Amino acid sequence: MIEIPRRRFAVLGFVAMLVFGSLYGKLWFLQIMSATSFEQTASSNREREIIVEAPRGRILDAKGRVLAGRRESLVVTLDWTSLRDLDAEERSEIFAEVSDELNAAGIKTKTDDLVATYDRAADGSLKPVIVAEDVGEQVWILIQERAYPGFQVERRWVRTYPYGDIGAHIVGYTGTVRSTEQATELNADNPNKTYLPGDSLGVAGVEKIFEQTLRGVPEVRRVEIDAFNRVIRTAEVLQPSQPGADIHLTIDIDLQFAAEQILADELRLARRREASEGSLPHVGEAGSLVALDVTDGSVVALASFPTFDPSDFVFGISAEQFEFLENRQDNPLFDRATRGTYPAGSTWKVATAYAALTTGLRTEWEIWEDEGIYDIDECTAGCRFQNAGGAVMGPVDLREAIERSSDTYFYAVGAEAWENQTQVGETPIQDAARLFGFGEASGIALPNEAAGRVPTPENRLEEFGTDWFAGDNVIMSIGQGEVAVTPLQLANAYATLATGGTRYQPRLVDRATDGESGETTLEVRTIVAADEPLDPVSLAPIRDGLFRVTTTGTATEAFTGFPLDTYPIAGKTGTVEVNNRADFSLFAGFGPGLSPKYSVAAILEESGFGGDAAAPAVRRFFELLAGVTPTPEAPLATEDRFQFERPLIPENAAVPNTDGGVDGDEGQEGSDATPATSPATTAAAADGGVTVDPVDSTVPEATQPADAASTTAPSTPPPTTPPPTTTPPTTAPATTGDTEEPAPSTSAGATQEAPDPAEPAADDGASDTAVGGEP
Amino acid sequence: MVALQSRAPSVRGESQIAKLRNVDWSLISFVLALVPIGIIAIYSATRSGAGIDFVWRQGMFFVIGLGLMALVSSVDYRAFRDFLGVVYILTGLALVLVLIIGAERGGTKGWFVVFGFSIQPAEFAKLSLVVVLAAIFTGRSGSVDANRIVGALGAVGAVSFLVLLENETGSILVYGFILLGILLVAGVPARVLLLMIATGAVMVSVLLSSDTLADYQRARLTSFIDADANVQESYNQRQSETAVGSGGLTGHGLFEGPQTQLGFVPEQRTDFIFTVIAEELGFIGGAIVLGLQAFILLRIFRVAQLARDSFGALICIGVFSMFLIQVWQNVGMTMRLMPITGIPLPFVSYGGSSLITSLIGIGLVQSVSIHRHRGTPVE
Repeated sequence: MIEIPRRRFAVLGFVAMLVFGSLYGKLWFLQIMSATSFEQTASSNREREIIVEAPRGRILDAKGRVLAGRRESLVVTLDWTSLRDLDAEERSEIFAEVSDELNAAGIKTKTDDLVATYDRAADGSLKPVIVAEDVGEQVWILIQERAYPGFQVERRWVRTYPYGDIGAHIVGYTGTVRSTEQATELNADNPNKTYLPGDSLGVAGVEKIFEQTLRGVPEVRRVEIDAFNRVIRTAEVLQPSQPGADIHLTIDIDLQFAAEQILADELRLARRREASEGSLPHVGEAGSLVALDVTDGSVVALASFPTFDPSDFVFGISAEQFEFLENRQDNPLFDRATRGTYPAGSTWKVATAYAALTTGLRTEWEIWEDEGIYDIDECTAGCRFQNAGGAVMGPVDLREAIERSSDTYFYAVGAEAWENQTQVGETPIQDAARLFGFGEASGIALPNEAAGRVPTPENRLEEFGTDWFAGDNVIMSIGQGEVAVTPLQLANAYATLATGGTRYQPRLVDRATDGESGETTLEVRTIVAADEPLDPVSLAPIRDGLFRVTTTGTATEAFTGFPLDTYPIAGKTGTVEVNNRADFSLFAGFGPGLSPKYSVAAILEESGFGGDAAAPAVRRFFELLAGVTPTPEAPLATEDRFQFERPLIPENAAVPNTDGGVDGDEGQEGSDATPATSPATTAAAADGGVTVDPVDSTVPEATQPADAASTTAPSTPPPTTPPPTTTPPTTAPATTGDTEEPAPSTSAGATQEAPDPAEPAADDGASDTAVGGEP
Repeated sequence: MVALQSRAPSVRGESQIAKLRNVDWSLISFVLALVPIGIIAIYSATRSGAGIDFVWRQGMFFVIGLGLMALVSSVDYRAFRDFLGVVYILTGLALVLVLIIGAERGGTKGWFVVFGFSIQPAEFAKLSLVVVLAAIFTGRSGSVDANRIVGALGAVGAVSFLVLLENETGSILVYGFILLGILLVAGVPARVLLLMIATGAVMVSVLLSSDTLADYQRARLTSFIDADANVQESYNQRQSETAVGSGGLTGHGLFEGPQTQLGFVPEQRTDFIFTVIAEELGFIGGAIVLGLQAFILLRIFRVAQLARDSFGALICIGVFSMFLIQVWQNVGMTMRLMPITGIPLPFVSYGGSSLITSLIGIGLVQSVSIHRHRGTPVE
């Protein structure tokens, strides 16, 4: 029998005591001696400071209608920090499951997209990235239940653009802070606004310029999280959220909508109009219209066509979609009204005329014999400039030269100014142009405004390294050559003519109000950019000439039927020729009469004569301003707004003969559906038929306001309109030569680059062609 | 307990009364106190994700375990000698079979899945080894000689080899400690014991520096020494230590421990169950659980001393060693006193195989206690 040595029990017992001694000792050490520090570790473990973006301020129109709003959306987010510890296989399993669940719930999601989002976020995103937006409660419950690591459903503030593409260039859009570096940079400038990657950030329009006002102060709170980084509860709010301030614009969305529709409509009509002989076919796919209140510089409408829907950017636009928008030939993201620069054409002649009168080169009554051609004296080559089609106007004074847009009159002024520069100075015309605000950014609260160009011998030498010749002065005198203006500058120049010298900085934003209390926090005052009174003696005959343009001059047809006797409009047509493109159509004017309220300018690219396309557009806008035609209500984006054809309809689309007369009202008088013969009348007819007012403007007899009210009472727009057309790729010829840069970052969307100072120029009305060259 | 006891088949010639008198009731009451504490802790660790599921399952294991405990108690332990070969071979077969048809989880392949329940043969093998080793070192004649020692090493080695193939390194540690405890008490010369411990230490260090172990295994074993070396492993252990430490004297309150409730401690219902008790019930709770374990060990130790023969005594010492190393390793691991190995805390950790094994172990000890009087005839 083997006996157990009793001592050995004691040894084992001793070992057991040591074991328990060590365990109790360590337990005592941890829980009694170090409890405090472990408690701290535990707190920092489960508590995080998180920063929650505040609701962004809204952008409202003059009547308080929401152009950029916000709503809360349930979004599924991906937090890469909770996924990084898993191995790739587990991760892809989770991605596959989540995308299956989302697809089952009707939210199209690709596993690959989730993987791509994860990879992007894994660069260091501190904030969960949205992978699916606007999910329903169902998905919420599902995701919370399954507790997939890294996936959560959150409420996030999301931008809304209730009016869709209306005023999109003004409102702009938001993007997201892309990287930690970008966030750090932003935070350096605005310490208490704490941007995080993934936060929204205005990148265009008012959204961009007023980013600081619109962005609220984010909430900072301490939350308790679990081991999977899921927020369990809020422990403490360290900094309360403060919504961003609301921005109130000066524009009225109804007028803005009308301006855009008028543009679209006139462009469509221009496309159908046959080009004049020797001119290229009208492409007519882009343009802009600007209306200013001349009394304080407030922007009434600022339309650039084509436009885009900022809603596309709300959740981050896809690369393909952005590329498509950016590379589209008609460049919808480009704000032509403030960034497009064009030769001013004959609209420039007001500057030349003002220079002629103030320098004494001309008196208002001095007669010039317009022979259709002008030869520069003592010139050896390329010295002949002529009116297109060889139009001969005979004797004209300043008023008539403006009224009928005689080029030779102004050629002569240009040439003489150069010849007599010892008496009149080197740049009298340019100096006059600067008085009207050309050549400098107007200062409107929109990003990347173009300054345009007032060419001078000095900047010619600086930029092109070549000398200035008499021929350059000749071309410049009619707003061609290197002259470049924006539609906004053009409207502001004519506003300056209207005020007699006071030029305002265009006022797009009226005020900002606190997001909670509604109190005004920022008042945008009227800023006078220049207040040098124009010489009234010189101004009077110029204004006379401009008033004649609409009554007996180059825009007569366009203004036929407009109540000019009660609402006189002064204006000027312009037709500019751009290399290898159809003529650009311009018109700028102000009214009413001698106590003007508004100035309106329109530039329609590749649309023919100024009197044919731009002038009717301006006229139609003035109808709204004058109250001749009621302004239609701008529809919300959710409504069917395709009452007008979209810009890019196929050129060969059938033109219904109901084109002009859409109004199906019984007992309607007038014969607006009658096919018109001349382009101008077609324009006028279609005018009334298709846009804001179906009847009155087409029938001269029916233009009295009273009549207008009675016949166009229906508040809803006419229903019989061409069906919405799917947008085919544009078939237009290349529009610009400047393709070296994506358009939004350049100011040259439709700019004439004008590297050749002696570029052939053309003019309006009785169109003339200048055969330029080195003198 | 009485009811269970009465259902157990009676051993010939002895009255139920006599048997009941020799049952170690205090040992049973400590066990009956400890298991419910474990179940409450399991509930605390799993209630947010699984509600009461684990409580039900553990309760069921408890009932089954108590039944088996009663059954084993009522059998005269001396009868096990006759089935040693069968027990050992069955254990070996189970361990081989689990390698072939077993399920894999968490890197180890040591589970039979039957009707949704997982059975872990490596757990039950602990008891087989206890009985086999106890038998090897006892007998009517002879002494503790080299043959017996080699036989014991072989028995443990073969089982350990199979379990190593399953990656159940934690169980091997327990086997080794059972062997050590039995060798010690059986009277193996001190120099032989020291030599074996030294050899074992060398083998472990060779193992750690060779490629035999998977990285994760090495990481787990070494993370407690070098806290920064293995981020994930040391992270787990630091979270566990933090949970224990933040409990303080009285704890955060039941179901209120943030580390527990927010899921910061891994494997909490099984290997890290002690953190739940320490965090939510504080030093007081932790000390009580450790104390109950100590009392259980003390009673087993006492039964060993009172055993009528060496076989009974060594069975008790084997079970004692088994519990001692598990408590030490498991609780030590949660406090960063020991490396991380997948060893459950007896009576407390969630897991059917572990709980039932522990209760059968108590049954063995009770059998020794019940049949300790010399007059009891051998079956």
